[in-house]
Amino acid sequence: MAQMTLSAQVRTEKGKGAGRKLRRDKRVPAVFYGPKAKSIMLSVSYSDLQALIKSTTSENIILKLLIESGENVEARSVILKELQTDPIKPFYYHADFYEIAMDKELTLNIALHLIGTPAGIIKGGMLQHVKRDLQVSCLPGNMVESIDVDVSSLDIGDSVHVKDIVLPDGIKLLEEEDEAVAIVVAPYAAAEEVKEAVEEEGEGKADAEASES
Amino acid sequence: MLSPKKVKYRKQQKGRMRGRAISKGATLEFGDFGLQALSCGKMSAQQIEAARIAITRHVKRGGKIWIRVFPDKPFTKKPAETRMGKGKGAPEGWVAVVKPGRILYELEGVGENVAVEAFRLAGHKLPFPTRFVSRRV
Repeated sequence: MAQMTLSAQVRTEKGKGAGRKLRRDKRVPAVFYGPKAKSIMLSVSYSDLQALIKSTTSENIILKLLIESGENVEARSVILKELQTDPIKPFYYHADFYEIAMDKELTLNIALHLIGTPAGIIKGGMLQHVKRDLQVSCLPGNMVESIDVDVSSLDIGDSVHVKDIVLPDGIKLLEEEDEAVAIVVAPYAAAEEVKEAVEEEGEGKADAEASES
Repeated sequence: MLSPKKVKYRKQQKGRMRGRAISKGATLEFGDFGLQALSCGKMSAQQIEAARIAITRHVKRGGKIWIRVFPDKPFTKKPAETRMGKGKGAPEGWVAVVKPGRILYELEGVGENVAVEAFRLAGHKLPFPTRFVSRRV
C-alpha cells in the first residue's frame, strides 16, 4: 500500500469558538497522540483530508503526517484513528492521528469482501453477510485494504467460517475460528409475514364492523 | 405492535429532541441498504409497523430486514371533551424518539432497485423526511 502524506499545522487555541473559526476557514481541528508521544493539537486542510479519505476504500489509513510548527516540519507515521463526521451532511468535524511504529504490530479491523455468486443463490437461496470485518494483528507495512472471501461454491445451507479465510502473509488472526462470515440460507419467508399482516388487517376490520353494528 | 414488556414508570415527561444521532445508530451495521432519518421526530409503534409492512410487501421473497428503532417512550392522552387539569392523561401508546441521521431500517439480500423502492414506500409512512443509504463499497 502506497504511503500517503498530509500536512498539519500546530494550533494553540482550543474550545468551541476556536474550532468553529477553524471550520469556517476550511480547516479541520485535529489531534496527534501516541503511546510515547506528547499530544499536540493540530489543524489540517479540509480539502486535503477529504482527498486523502477519498483516495482509499480502506478504513485503516496509515499516513505520514508532516507537522508544521513555525519553520520546523516534523514527519510522523500515524494512523487515522478516529474521524468525527456529520451523520447527514458530508462534513468532517475532527480527526485523531495516532502515532505508530513501523516495526511494531498493530491491532486492526480489516474489511471482508465477498467475491463470486454462490451456487445456492441461483437455486433461490439468499446470501447473508454475517461478519463484515476481521480483527487482525500485523505490521503497518503488511496491512491490506481488504480481504477477499470466495463464496462462489456455497450451496443452500453452506457457510464460510473465519478458519476458511486465507490470510495474506504477515497477518495474524485475533478472532475465534468458528465464527461464520457468510451463509447461504433458504429464501426468507417474507411472503408468510405479508399474509399474516393481511390477515391481521382483515381481523381488525371485521372487529370494527362488529362493534359498529 | 412493538412495546416494552415491562417498565418502571407508566408515564414519562415529553422531553426535547436536541442534537444528532452522532454517537448511536447513524451507520449501517447489519445490511447493505438502509433508511436514514433526516430530521428529528417521534415514530409511533404503528408507524414502525406500517413501514415494516410496506418494505416486506415490496420485497416479497428473499431479503432480510432489521428494525433499528424501538418505541420505548410512552405518551398519554386525555379523553375527548375533558376540561384541562385534573392530572395527566392515561397512557395511549409508545413512540421511538428519532434524531437526524438515525438508521431506521436495514435490508440485505435484495437488489438496490428493490431496496430503493421499498424504502421509498416505507418513507411515506413516517412523520419526517428520510433518505436511502447504502454501503460505501
